[in-house]
Parts: sequence; structure tokens; C-alpha cells
Amino acid sequence: MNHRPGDDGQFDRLWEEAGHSDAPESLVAAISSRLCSGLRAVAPAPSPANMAVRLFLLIVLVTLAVTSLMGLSGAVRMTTLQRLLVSIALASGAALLALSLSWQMIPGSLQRFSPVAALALTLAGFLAAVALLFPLRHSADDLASGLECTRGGVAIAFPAAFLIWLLVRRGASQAYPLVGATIGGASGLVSVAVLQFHCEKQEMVHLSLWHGCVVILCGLTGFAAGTAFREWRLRTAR
Amino acid sequence: MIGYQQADSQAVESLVRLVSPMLHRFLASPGSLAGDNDDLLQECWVRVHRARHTYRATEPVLPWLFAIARHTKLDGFRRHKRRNSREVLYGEVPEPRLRPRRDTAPEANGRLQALLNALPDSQREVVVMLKVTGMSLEEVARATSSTVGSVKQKAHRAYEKLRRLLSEETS
Repeated sequence: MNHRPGDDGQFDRLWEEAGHSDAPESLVAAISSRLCSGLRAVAPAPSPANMAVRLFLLIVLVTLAVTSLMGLSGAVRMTTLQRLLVSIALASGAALLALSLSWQMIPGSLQRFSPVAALALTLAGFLAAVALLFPLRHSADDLASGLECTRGGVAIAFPAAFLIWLLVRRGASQAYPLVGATIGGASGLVSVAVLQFHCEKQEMVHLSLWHGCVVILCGLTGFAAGTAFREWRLRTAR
Repeated sequence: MIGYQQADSQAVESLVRLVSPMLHRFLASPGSLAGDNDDLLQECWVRVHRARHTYRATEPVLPWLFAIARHTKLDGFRRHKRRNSREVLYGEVPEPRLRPRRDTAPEANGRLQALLNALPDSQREVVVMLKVTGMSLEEVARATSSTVGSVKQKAHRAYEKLRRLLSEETS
């Protein structure tokens, strides 16, 4: 049922009086014949929930694969509680981003939260976990080791983003900049998870600043890539 | 739509005939020329064709279609803006020929356009979707990638403003 708060019928009457322009018959016929020529059957895409599970599993699998390659020297230095709570924070972020991406892949999906909110909550969850669980310490090589971690994180994020994009392109995303930002955020989260279990410097400032900024950098890069892709499509379109 | 996915030509034709008038009305933004709307309608159907595998039989079809139409319209607007900002006119351009609208009262149409122009883009979009398609608030939320609460708020504010403008007009 239509809900039209504040409408007292005057606007309805004006809308009816104004009439409307219809698509010309010839145009409708031309569109029909164009769509029907070479028409092929397609299999319906899986539901957004199914897509979200696939995306979540992909993020987890890529994280596990890269972590096993790079080693678990950071995980050894964490306590059981730190390992458990950081894993929960990272997994929750991955679930949020996977859900958001799956909604963006299927037009007309009801989005319970926006992609920006998903990114913000993911980052906030990680930062809160780090702030609560890790000691506040400074060391002389903060900048050098921080830059090394950020560089490594960004390098991990590129192949992860490519793999996520391979799955996302099976949908029909419409808002490319937001999809790009979410893919960037998800690949940044993969990097953060890998760094969390690999990096030996388990300190609050280092983790929140140099590891956390990978999510922001990757999200912004994804947004820029999505915007560039949209502009390219606008330029090359008829 | 299910027939479309199964490559049934008759289903495609009937879907195009049924939905095109609604899409055309939605795509006809204030101040645009008839030719622009026709181009946008064609582009919208091309996008629908490419995305047809993402429709699911258990979901309502109109939000799915209008989510695609909305982005077609936004891209059309961006293209138009870019063209206007870059083109330099060196001569007289002939007046574009507007296709006469059927079943249209020019005065009422002008008033309607003026009222809609007074609304912010997001509120105008919600009002036009509700009026053109008769979709529910949840369906409009789906089509605009928004939440039901946000759509409700936009509709409420838009109708408040329209009522105020109409009462100012009459007084």
C-alpha cells in the first residue's frame, strides 16, 4: 500500500491533470525486437544470502592461504583471549562486508545497512578490539616497521581484491564506486587479518595505525577504481 | 520475467509493452527532451537484458527493474552534465523538436514540473517512484538501495513541502 504522508489530494489531482508522455509504439517494438534477437536462456543467480556465504568463505580461505604462506609469528605472541577476540572482530567485519557486497550484486535487494556503514563498522570493530586487548607501547623503529607492514598489507590486498571481484562480477552491480570501495575494504580486511597473525609487533599503536590504515587505503583505492570505471563506461557508451 | 530468463520471446515482448510506459515516465526528468528519454529507455532495457540472470522469482520485479532504471537515469544525468560542461557552441543550433505529449494539459504539466523542481533530488525521486509505479515504501527502498525509514522520511518531507507550495499557490 502506498503511504503518502501529508498529501491532501491536491497533488494527486495535479498529477492526473498533467498527464504523461508515453513511450512511442515504434520505440517499444524496436526494443522488443532488439532484445529478442539472439535471446538465450540464463540460469538465475543465487540468492543474496548464498552469495554472502560464498564471499565470506572466499575471504576466509584467502586469509588462511596467505597466512599459512607467511607464517604465524604474530599469533604465537598473542594470548588465547587476544587471538579469539581479534578473530571474532575480523570475522564479523568479513561477514558485514560480504553481506553488503551480496546486496549490491543483486539490483533491488533490500539493504539493511549501507556499504559505508559496513566499512565503518568493520574498521571500528577492529580498532576497538585492538584498543581493548593490546598494550600501548612505543619503540624507536615505529615508523620503519609501520611502513613495512602497510606496504606488505597493500601488496596482499591487490590479489585478494582480484579474487573477490571475480565473484562479484557474476552479479549486476550498478553503483560502481561503492562496490569498488566495498571490495577494497574486504581485501584490506584480508591484509589486516594476515598481518595480525604474521606481524611480531603486537602493540596497540602499531596495529591500529599501520595495520588499520590498510583498510582505509584499500577502500579509497577501490572507490577511485570504481569511479574511474564508471567514467570510462560513460565515455565509451553510445 | 521468468519467461525472459528462459528465452521466451513472447514473454519479453509482453514485459517490454507492460513496463516501458512506466519506465519512460520515470526516466522523463523535469526539463529533458523526448529524445533523451527514448535513449535512456533503450539503454535501460539493454542493462535489464544484461542483468536478467540476477532476477529471482521469489522477489518483486518492479524494485529490481527500477533499481536498474534509477542508475540508468543517474548515468544519463552525469553524461548530460559532462556534455554541457565541455561542449562549445560555434553556431546557431536548431530548436529541438519536442514530441507532442499525449493526454497532456500543458498548464498543469508546467505547474507539476515547477513543483517537482522545488524538491531536492532524493525527495523528487521517491515521489516520482511512488506516483509512477505505485510501489510500496519497502519496494521503493529496494529500488533506491535505501532503508524503509529513509524513504518514509523523504516522502513525508516531500509531501509536506508540496502541500505548502500548493497552498501558497492557491492563497
